[in-house]
Amino acid sequence: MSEDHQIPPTSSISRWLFTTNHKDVGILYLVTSLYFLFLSGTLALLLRTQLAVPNNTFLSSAAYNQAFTTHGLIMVLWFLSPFAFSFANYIVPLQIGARDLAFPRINALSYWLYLFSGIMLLVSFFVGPADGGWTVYAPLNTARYSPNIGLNLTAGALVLFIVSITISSVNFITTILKMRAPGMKLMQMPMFTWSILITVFMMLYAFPSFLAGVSMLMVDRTLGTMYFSAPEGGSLLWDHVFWFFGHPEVYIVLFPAIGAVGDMIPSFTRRPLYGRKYIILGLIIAAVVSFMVWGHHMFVTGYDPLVAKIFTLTTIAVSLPFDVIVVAFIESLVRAKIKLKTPALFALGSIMLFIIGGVTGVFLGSVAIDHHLRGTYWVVAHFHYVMVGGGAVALIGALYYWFPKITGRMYKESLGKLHFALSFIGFNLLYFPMFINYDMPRRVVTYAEQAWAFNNFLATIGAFVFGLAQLLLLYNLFTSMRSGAPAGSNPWNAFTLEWATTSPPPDYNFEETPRVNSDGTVSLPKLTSFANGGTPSGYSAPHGLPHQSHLSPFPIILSALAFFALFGIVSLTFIPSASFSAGIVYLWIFFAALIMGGFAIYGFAREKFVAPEDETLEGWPFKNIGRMKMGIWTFMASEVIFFGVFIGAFLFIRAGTAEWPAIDTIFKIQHGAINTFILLTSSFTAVMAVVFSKKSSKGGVAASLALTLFLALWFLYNKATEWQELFHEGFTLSASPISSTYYITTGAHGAHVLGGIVALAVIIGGVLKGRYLGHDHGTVEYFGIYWHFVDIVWIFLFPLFYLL
Amino acid sequence: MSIKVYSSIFAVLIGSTAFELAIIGQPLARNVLVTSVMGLAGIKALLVALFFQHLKDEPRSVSSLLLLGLVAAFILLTLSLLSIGALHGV
Ligand code: HEM
Ligand SMILES: [Cu+2]
Repeated sequence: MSEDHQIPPTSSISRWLFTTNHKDVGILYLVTSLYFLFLSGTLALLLRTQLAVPNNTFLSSAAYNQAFTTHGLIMVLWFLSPFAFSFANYIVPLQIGARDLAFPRINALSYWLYLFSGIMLLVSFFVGPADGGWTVYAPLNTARYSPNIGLNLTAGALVLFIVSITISSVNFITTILKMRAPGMKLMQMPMFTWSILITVFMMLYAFPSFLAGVSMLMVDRTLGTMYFSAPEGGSLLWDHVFWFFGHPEVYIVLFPAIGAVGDMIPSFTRRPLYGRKYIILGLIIAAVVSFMVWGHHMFVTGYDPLVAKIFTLTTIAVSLPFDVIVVAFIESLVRAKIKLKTPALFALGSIMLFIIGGVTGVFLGSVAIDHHLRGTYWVVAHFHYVMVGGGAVALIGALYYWFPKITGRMYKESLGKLHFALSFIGFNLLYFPMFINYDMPRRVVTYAEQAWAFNNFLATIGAFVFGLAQLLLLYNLFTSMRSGAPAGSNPWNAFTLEWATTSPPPDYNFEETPRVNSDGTVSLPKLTSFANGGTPSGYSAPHGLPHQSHLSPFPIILSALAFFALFGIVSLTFIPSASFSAGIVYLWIFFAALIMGGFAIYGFAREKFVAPEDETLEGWPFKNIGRMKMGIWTFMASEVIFFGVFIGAFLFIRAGTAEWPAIDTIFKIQHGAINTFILLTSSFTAVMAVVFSKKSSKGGVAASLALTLFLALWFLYNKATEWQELFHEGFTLSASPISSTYYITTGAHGAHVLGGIVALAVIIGGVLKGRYLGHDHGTVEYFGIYWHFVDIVWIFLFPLFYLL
Repeated sequence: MSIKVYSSIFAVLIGSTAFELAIIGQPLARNVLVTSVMGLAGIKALLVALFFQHLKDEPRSVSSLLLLGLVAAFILLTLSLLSIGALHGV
């Protein structure tokens, strides 16, 4: 299929199911994220209806809890970042002059995993939703307090979602750092591209912590381990793991919006952004410090006062770069003759709302004040001003801004302005009264206090104004898509590269790779031939362009199978023991999906998919490393955090355990030592395989890899016998927090060994057919990078569990 | 890199593991023991990364990616342990 030179037309279903083109994927993200916006918005209107008057009984308290939990999860995870990703997909490659992302099929895979994760969340919503809030706090999240399958499915949905986010971050990092138009220095990248780069870096390091936390939650709920149900770990452990991800996450949803505003302001003021360098620097500093402030969500947990002091200081520090950014934005606007088109209005409105949100957050950063405001509507107002006001409002502006590029047509300006006015009024009517109700507790279904009644009533009216106003957006976009005035390539006379090609761009984006001159101007040798705009007919690239594939069936297949495998396993562990037949069904679903998944991965690996690598592109600071290798290394960086959190949780629980077993009592040194020697040897054989592969010695590669495979299997065999012995001694998964951390930490490592074994089997098969030799030695080398990492993890697990 | 280099690294890895096993039997103070065993593990990990994963031949930006990850994990570890007063004796 991928050999086709013609992509099916946009009217064809198969185009949308199998596309890997970044612009198509961007549109898929756009439609899906908007769907989630409206879904979650409907839930919000239910919540506001319930709160409109005191002592209301419109929703039961169970329904209320489920509604606000699902509302929060969808808005923060399934709406905001994917909405930003729709522009990241569509616009970023255009802004840097690339023809697609570095890994187009992985990009499609990200989208489908996102869609299927959303479907799983919806399934969970209908069979028994999570109800503990989007933060899923322990111990409310444990099987004891939430004994429903819904939370298992929510955890499964989160796993799919996080995998999607992680591979996306790898993709964008590789693309932005390695595939810029010749001459484009990092500092010459447009603001939106910068913000996406910083965002995906935060994602890369923050989400693995969440993945580790959700995995622990999942095994707690399905296998009976005790990470969050025993006091040694418990709620404090969840708080750390969640908020270590959670605070960067709130910047993750915000930064793309700041970047979009940074691109819109120059277009409508007709002059460069003021202090552009400092905005970028500010974003980078805030991103780094955002990993050191998570404790400000835990001030009332009663933890060590020294730590509270540290977190207060870092929280003050992290708000400083935002002052710089806001000042730079304001400077960019003073005395500017700004053209108040719809995107500009949204950008300005967003800056104002963000300022209010930021100032009210500073109050919360003070330990003393937070003790009063914590858990109140002040917090609710604060984070809606930053996330909806600062984040979503700006991104809606971005949608108007880039709509002409995506569709080739203009939206209706007057309708857009009306939409802005109603949104802005509705928003403030909705959230400002919540500041005044700063003493009303959040997350409660109703209230009797008459003093809160008026403000709540205002907020509910505001909610309906704000919510219904969004229908204008849909109406405007739907009608303009077909009948809007033709936009031309550059309706805003904007300065960035996405405007230097037609609207919409052809599937290869630029007829000739643009070149950026040292003064920042762009040379586009053949642009004139596109000057008329309109949809390019036919999708074959002009002569001389390297062929690029745009279709693959595997992303959607793999995602569906991942969905079913997870669905089977989380459901299986929840059925009552009486319904044996249902168990069989889930087991079958799981195994069938797993086996078909194996074939799909093989098909993916063998598919002829062309994504040409262009040596002339700007790739600092990753110029001298291949695209694939860089992707693997970037992924490994996320793995560092993933295992770091598992090891951290182990040490945390160990520190809280009064009596840790003496060495060589439970964990026999002999077992650990033998397995250490085995893995070290397997690293040696793996590195020898690369030597042989470079020498094109087929026998040598096959023998070294076969030996590696044998050692890996031996390692797992030892592990299995060791576990069996321990089980017989009563040291089961649910015996104690000690046994939980042991099985799950070494189990997560063992799962990686298993992954290596599957990869080895595939690679050995290829070697026997004469592949992966000589120039094609990359695959063997990439496997090695992964395998040595697995070895390194064990190098630390061995002393931690067996020797100390 | 030559087979000779790989073999010597491998020998050092095996040797330092044997050394780890040797010192845990010795009557050492707990913190000396912890530091030396974890130190050895760190050295082994570094050797594998630099020579087997060829990090030493890659652009320094690659190691920076990983280093950032390590630092982030380290911050999480330190502050969460501090928060339960676990590091006060150290
Ligand atoms: C200007 C700097 C900021 C400061 C000093 C700050 C401070 C805080 C503090 C201390 C809390 C905890 C309140 C509590 O639960 O008692 C909080 C909550 C929150 N903040 Fe901020 N914040 C800032 C900016 C932001 C931004 C930019 C966002 C997102 C775009 C954000 C999103 C949130 C969210 C979602 C919560 C609530 C979490 C929950 O559900 O409990 N904040 N903020
Ligand atoms: Cu925070």
